Amino acid sequence: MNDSNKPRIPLNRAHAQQRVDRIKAFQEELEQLEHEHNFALQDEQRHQLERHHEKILAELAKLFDVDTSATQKQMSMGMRIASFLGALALAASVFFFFYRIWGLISTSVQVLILISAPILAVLGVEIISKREKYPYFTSLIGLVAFACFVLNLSVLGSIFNISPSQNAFLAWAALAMILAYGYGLRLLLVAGILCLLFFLSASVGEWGGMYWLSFGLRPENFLPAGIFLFFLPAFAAHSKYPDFPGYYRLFGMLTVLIAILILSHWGEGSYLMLPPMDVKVLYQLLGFAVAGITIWAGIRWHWQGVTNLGSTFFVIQLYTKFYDWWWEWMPKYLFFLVVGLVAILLLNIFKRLRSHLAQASA
Amino acid sequence: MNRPGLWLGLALILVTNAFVLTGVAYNRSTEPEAVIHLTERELNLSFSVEENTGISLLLVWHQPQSGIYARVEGPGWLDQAKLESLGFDCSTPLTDLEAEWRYRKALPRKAYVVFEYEGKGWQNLLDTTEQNIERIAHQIERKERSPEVLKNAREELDRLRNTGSRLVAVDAGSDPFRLRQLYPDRHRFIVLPAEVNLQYVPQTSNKTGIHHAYLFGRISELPRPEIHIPMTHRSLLEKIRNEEQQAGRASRYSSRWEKDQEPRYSVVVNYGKRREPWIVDVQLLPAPKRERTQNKS
Repeated sequence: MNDSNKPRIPLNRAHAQQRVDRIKAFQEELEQLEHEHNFALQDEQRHQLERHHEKILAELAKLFDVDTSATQKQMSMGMRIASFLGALALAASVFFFFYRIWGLISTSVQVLILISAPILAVLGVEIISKREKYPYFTSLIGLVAFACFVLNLSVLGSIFNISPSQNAFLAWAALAMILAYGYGLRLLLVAGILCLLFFLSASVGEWGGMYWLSFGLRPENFLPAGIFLFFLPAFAAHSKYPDFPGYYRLFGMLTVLIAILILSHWGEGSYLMLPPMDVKVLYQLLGFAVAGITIWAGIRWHWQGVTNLGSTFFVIQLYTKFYDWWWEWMPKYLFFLVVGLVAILLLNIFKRLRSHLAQASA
Repeated sequence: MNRPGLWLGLALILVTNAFVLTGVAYNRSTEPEAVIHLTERELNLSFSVEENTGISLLLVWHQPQSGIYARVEGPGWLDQAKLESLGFDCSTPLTDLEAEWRYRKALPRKAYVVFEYEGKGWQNLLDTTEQNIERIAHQIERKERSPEVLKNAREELDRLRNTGSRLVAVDAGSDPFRLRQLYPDRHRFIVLPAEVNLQYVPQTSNKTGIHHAYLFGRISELPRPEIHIPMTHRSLLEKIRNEEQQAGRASRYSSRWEKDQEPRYSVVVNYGKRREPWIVDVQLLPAPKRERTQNKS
């Protein structure tokens, strides 16, 4: 190994953290091998390897502020939670503060405050992002900027008595996405995805002939939006933020599955001009089929979150149907016995599936 | 400041606000679409919470009289033909076995509704309420209802006549300009966007005979039922609200004056090109009339 060979530096923090994790795993495995098999590298090789790893770890820590120990990882998780909770609290504070003062100021001052608040917050995002490698505070201020913009448009609507429009969701989604992609903020990405979801669903409802404010009356309005979000990453490369596509897939599929779950219990809520019971049966079958496809797709393309989502939904769908079919007329001990037996059956199925997959990959 | 995200974000905020404010300016440009003088009967002080200093007025209006709980049987003017003109699919015969679940699935649609202030619609409402009282009186003679029902109905008529809103929905259509041609008096009629729901009333039979199934429309809430009060017009309303709060009369949901109390203020409301309202003036109504009402109560 030659020290002069410069280590390949990853493009972003996620890749850097993956590299650090691989190095740590390698070091632990090497130690284990030495302990179990009296296997040892020559001193020179060992020193070269250690120096190389140290150099990489130091460089990655310097460039991306990655976690190089388990303690650091735990601390980072705590900081992310604190950042999220802080952002929610600050956003709520902005809302309540404005409502506390808006009756006491003139319309022109109201408008001035409403427009300048998100502008100042976005400038704050830029300034703070330059001072930190991992965006704890940037994420916090980013969510405040988003909240200020939500407040901006919704209060302008109240002040000037403007008829509400779903286009506001598009504007909010746009700002959230700009901040998410501009500064690598996952929290803002989720906010953007949710706003986009509402905009698309309301638009689908309006195209279906209903007044947009009632778009929630037809859960099917959410299906095209969910499918669109699920497949969006397939058409847009995310080399800079490789973890972003997972969020689109997760929220897209979650939307589809929730809409199907609701319709499998509420046939009256469908666009389909079929008797409600037929609609329920149709969506029950569709629910199991989609859950199965979701699990398969998750395993096929190594999307762990999607696999877990499909499995969870499958179980929820099954148990809610059990409740519908048997809770009323079955003795409770028998009901829970059946549920327990089905759980054992499912465990066996998943176990077999797992061993098949292991054989296939071998 | 070298990130494109920064500039894109700032541009988005500015462009969106410019778009919204241009819409507001457009709504208020040239002659208002309607100018209407209302009172506290039609514009109730909206409920307020402790940490919200804003004041708004809630538009109160009457539905067309129809449906199984209505004072008059039958669909009223928002009938099947009108619903079809608004784009509702009413092709399933009402006698069809599938009619009930098919019509229950009908989705609300956007329409424009004409509201008339203190006109024929209001008079019709009073007349039908009186007819309802006569009907109840006959039912009491036949021992079909208790005298308590008649007492309540008479009290309701009194409230309606003396302190109830005089704004009544009288027509609906999908073209607001056509409606304005039909109702040209801009000081008496306002044309507003609203959500209309289709309702199905199944066939029933009782001692009086068979009542055939029918469809009627129900107007849901307006998209923006509250009108914000700007700082320039809030002093009078703020005073009223504070007085009510001190007297402990303001409820959690509304600081609405007592039901049998006469209105305390009048309001001039303009509706612009986009049919979005704004307050032009708020005046205190003459005191003697109000004092008399208070003494009476």
